[in-house]
Amino acid sequence: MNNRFYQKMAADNIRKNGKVYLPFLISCICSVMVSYIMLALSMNRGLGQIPGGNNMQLILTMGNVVISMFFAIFLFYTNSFLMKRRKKEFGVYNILGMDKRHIQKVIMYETMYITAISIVVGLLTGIVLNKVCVLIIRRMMDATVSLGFELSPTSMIGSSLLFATFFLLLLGYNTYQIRLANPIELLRGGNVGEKEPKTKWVMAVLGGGFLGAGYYLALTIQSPITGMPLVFLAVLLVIAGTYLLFTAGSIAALKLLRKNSRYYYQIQHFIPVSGMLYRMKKNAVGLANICVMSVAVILLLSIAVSLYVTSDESIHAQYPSNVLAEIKLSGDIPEAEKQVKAELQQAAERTAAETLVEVDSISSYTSLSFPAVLVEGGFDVPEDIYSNQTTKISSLYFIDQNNYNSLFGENVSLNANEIYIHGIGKEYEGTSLSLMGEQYQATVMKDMKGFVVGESTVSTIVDVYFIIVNDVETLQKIEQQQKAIIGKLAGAIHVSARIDLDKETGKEQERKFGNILSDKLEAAGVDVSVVDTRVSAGEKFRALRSGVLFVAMNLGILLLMATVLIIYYKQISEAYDDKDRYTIMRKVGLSLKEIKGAIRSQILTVFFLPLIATGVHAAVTFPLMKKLVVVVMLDNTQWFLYCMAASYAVFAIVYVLIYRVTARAYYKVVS
Amino acid sequence: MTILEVHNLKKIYTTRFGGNQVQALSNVSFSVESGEYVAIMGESGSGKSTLLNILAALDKPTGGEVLLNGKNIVSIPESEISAFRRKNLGFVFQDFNLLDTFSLKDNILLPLVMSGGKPGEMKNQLLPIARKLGIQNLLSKYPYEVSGGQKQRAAVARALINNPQLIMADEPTGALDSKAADSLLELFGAINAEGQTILMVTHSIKAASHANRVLFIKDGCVFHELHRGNLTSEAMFQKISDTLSVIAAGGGFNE
Repeated sequence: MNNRFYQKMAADNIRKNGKVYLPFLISCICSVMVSYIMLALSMNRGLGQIPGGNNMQLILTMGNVVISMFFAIFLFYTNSFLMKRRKKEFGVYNILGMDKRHIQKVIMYETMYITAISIVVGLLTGIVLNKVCVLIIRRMMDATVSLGFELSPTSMIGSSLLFATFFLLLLGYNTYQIRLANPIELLRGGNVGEKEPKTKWVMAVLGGGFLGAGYYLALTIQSPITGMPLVFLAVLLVIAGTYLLFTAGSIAALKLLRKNSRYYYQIQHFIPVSGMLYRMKKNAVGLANICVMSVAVILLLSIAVSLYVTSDESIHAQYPSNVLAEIKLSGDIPEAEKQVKAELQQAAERTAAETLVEVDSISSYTSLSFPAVLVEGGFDVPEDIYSNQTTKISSLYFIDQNNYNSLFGENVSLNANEIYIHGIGKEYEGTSLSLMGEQYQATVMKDMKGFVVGESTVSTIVDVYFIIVNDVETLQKIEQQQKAIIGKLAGAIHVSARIDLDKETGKEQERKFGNILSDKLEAAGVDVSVVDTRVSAGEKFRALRSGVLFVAMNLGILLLMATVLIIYYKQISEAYDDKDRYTIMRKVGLSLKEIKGAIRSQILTVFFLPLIATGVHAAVTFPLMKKLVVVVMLDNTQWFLYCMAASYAVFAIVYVLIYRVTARAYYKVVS
Repeated sequence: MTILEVHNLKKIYTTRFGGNQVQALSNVSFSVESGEYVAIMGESGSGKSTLLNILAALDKPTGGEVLLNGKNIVSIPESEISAFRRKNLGFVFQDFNLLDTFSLKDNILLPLVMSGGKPGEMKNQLLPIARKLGIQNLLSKYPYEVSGGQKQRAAVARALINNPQLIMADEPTGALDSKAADSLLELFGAINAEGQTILMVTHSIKAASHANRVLFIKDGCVFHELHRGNLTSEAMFQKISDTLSVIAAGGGFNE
């Protein structure tokens, strides 16, 4: 027998087993597609350029690892169904005189075809879908997205290699299975009764532990940026915990149900409970898959939705004036402050004259900010504050009373070592405050006017305290003290300027004003940190939003598709398994109507377990996700909760629809 | 009292495109009295299975009627047929038809659960039957953990648990070794002695020789009937064997 024979046979086999191969093929194609898109996005240059894009790409890269693991589990899971169904066929070949070596050759060619089809079609659809998504988002957001239709050869090679490896592993597993079995076993293949699974307490406890640890991390991680490895660990722990708990927990739960004879011996529970228990091992992996996918879908959809509903207006919260400038002070602070403020005033006026823009107001003030840890009776500034990921960090913003008074026309009067403090979220408790060895007398001042700016974003991740001290000298002393501890990364005293332009100023003019002001300040020899305009910030913000929206929508829809597919495939393949059982039940005297009821009950249980678990996961990971969202959205997050609830609701509806369709398909197969 | 009456039963299968018609049963009439143990014999293709399927209400005849306790099962509407079947009939199959997902106990209880029985009552019904069939120690085992004979006993228990009017057995010894087959036939004899009516379709002369009466079916008709009378099983065996030889030779054997 030559190779062409095997090739033809392999092709025929796939065609003839189309009913079971098609869903498998579609799943493979979708997996390749998702993998390509994620890889392409994580390497996309356009995405890297938008603000926050780097963080998003980091998330994507990590997501890629998670998703790849998921794909591996998913492929092995579906493959096991496939092999079970086909063992009989191989048994017949074996008996008809084909060597196991020959059968393995056929399988090899089959796998080659499947691999080729999956990778080629998956990459093609991935490229096209990528483009479609970009177009939709451009429409929706009216944005100038620069990412999207770029062929990414690296990603193409990357996902091809990844899946080639997966299929190679599958091939190895399948040939190994064939080699182990004798023809009679192969012939029986699909019908060998699985042993009833034992309750695995170790696994259940381990799963509970993983899940608990994951949840704990999710709830306690303070800054998702510095704690990125921890976030990743939390995600992995939750996933591992889900798989273990579903596997061990579901068996324990079903056994408990079976023990309750009043519940168990009812026709609508009798058949489903025993049926599920019978093949719970596989069932559990399927359910855990569905659960993990669902959480991902909900998170992605809620990010997409909250991005869509957040309006541009929120940019005003961060940019109270048209133009913001920050200049770093050094040397003798009181002297430098005066000089820089004068430079600023001058530069702004000249810029205004040059660009024909009318300036409404210019105000500038001196401030200092650095991180600290809230402790009993004050704040502590440890040396490792930037690398420490477990302690809750607070951001401290300092201003002196002269600056504060002149900025807001107030009349604050503080003595030396006396401060006013205002905390976002939680006020400072106590009347004395120690900071780096100094004692201050603290009074809470609830209304600090415009000094409190853009707080909602930062305060999601850290606690923020605004503090007024009595003079610039105190400010300088504090700056020196924390510089001595933290070193290079220490906060520096800045002069911040807020320049309001006339309402009639156009966008182009505003941007030009910002650019020229920046040039002038540079030319004046001051240490400029930032010069930014509301217009350009708004643009960046919009680019970021559309970028994130693109990614979230893209992945959300893809994962939803994959989820639907898994559910459908799982139900169909189980229906084939159950067909004989229902035939017997019909012979013993079960009517079609009762069969329908039993099926409904079984599918309901199978379906709503992951939905509930998904809800719990989503609820617990909500705080962490909120913080992550801040990283990419720079926006206040009040909407996120509603969006998440809405996404969950929408997802539940889709889920119920899938349930209906699958129940019908399942019923069609068994009756 | 007559439990089962079959009048002029006819079944014609039409091939899918209406081309060929195959007459599986041409004209079958017989009756079964309460407490009888009847065996139906015939070669492959003689119409045995068709007959049993119709008696079991799994298939509809083309003509004729089947009266169970005077009620025509042909006219029972589809919606009630399953309930009727599990209330009045018990089935024993060649390949046991036990469900792998259930323990023997749950397999036996299946008809009761379907009828909505209470757990306590079910237990009370289960134990005497399990003891009678000698499987009381196997109840928590699964079908793939026990032998063929034990499986068939469980299947018999499942057939008996509803106290059916009639037990229908389709080649019950077909998949058993001779020892297990003997013990099952003894069991059938014992159950019958307690008053249970049994209708058995079989190939096996040995199985048929345990019955009170043997019906022979050939080409869709009841061809011949044998009564045991006072004969021993061995003598009955010989008689059936002779009859089959005559049928096989195609002789015009008529009573």
